Amino acid sequence: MLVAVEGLSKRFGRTVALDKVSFSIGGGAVGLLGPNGSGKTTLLRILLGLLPAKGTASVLGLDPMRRPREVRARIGYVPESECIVPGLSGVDVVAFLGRLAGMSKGAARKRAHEVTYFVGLNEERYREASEYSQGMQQRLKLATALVHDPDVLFLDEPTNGLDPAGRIEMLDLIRELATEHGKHVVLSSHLLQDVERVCTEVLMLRSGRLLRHGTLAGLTSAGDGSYRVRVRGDEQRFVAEMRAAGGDASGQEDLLVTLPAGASTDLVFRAARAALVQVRGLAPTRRTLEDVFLAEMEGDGAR
Amino acid sequence: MPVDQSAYRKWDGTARPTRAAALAIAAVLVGRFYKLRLVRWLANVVAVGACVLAPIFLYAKHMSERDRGLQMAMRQMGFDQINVLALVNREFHTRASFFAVLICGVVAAQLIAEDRRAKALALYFSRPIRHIDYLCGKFLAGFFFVALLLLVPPVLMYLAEIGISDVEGAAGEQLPMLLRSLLAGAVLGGALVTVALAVSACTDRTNYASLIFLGLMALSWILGVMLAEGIFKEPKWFAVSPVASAHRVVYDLFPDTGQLRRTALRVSRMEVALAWKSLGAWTAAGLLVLLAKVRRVEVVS
Repeated sequence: MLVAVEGLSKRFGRTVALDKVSFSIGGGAVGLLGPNGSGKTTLLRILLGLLPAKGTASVLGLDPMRRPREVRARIGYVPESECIVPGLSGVDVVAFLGRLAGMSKGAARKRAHEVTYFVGLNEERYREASEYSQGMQQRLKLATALVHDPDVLFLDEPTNGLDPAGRIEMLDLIRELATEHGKHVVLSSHLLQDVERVCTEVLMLRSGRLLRHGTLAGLTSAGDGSYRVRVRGDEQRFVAEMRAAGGDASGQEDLLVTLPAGASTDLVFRAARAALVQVRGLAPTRRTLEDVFLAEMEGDGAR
Repeated sequence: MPVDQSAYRKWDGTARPTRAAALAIAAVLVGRFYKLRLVRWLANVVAVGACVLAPIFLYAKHMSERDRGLQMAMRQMGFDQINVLALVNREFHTRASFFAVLICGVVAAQLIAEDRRAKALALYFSRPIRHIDYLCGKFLAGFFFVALLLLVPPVLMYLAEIGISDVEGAAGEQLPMLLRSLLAGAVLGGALVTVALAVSACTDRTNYASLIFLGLMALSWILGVMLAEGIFKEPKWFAVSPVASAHRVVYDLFPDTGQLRRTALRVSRMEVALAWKSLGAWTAAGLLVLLAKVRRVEVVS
């Protein structure tokens, strides 16, 4: 189990940052989605052992509140804020943070060159980090998270301040780490497209509460018995057959078919046979993550 | 440094919490200042200081006949024995303390403030280090520069002394004086760096941190003088100032054997005890502020 939390609560004075949050995630690329102030950063900090909290938490089987240093040794963290170690070049920052992670001086130095190159800081790695553009600083933060080759990456808004091209590059880099290099990624973001591009599992937070948790495919499938159907032949006859069977169909080419309650997709094939058309495509209709997110936000607001 | 041009490579080692984090933090800070040529500048100051102080010391040790006559006259006036080495060390530490305040104001008072400004604490504490590692690293970096001023010259003076001395066993004979001198430097430097770091932890403006620290030292000195000599006319109020307290500690570590000399300096046993307590209190207060502030800054940054 990558992360498991049970009844996690955190208050800052009167402000409730997290309210009895419980979930468990097994690994892969997980998105932590929520508007600003929803408790994403607080949750990550608790999981890193930087903040005490009520409830229980476990990261890679370790309790971050009791064994924070061991947890942090196995996690690469990209903080949300623009942060640098002042007065050092990019490669020096990465090597220094590698040293703090317990690497020897030589290993940290060698590794710093490798990861700065990997994130796309080529000759720029010799420049002082305080002179970096925001995009380069984000890359540098990713390099600092990778220097000690952790199993897990906690990325807090890693695309903040990036231009569209830079954002896509960064997201592709993160996805590559997750899919090709076996890293577990927890990506915190308020940008739905970022999560959609990288993650296979999503946690939605609002006002410190967990609204939804599930796979991206599960969350975006409409689940209301509607399908996108492509047929070859007389579409109007197929539509008529569907309506005669108690369902509904509309549109052209890509027909939106709604099955009656309790019916299976067999009904589509029976209607196609009756209408003498060939079914060329059948897929459940999908909502975008944005639809799901907005519906959850509205639903939560109404509650 | 050869770069692997291929994509992401696994690292063979295992990251684990390190015991040497404080040293790594101190080393990177000292290295950084070295790049700014500050260390070289300080080394020059120390070298020049040693060149000036060593002849004074040697002159005092091997006084001319005329001065010996003067010393005899002073003994006749009541100063029954003057320990020249103690006098030199005492004068050195008394004067060096003002420069130590200046160095702490310029260097140590900025160490945490600039991390706060750059939000570097989030990066530091994403690593498996403790707050105490971070603070020890900062302390060692700050103390390094103060040590250049307070600890290196006494060592140079000691080496010069045993180098030219024709007395057998001079090294062992002068060793206690060296150790006292190092203790004086460590006590003063430790207190000043701790207070400077505490001030540094309270702001993210580096210039403000320097000014606040120097202002605090100046104000406490003025207040101590005003209370001790003006308003209350009781010597104990000097303890308001850590620098004035450090001076009393120096008098305690390098006393004259002549009773009249001690009386002439107006440093009583009570004052010496109070001075030690004052330095301890300033250091403890600095530590408390540091721990509270760094923990909080890290949490809210």
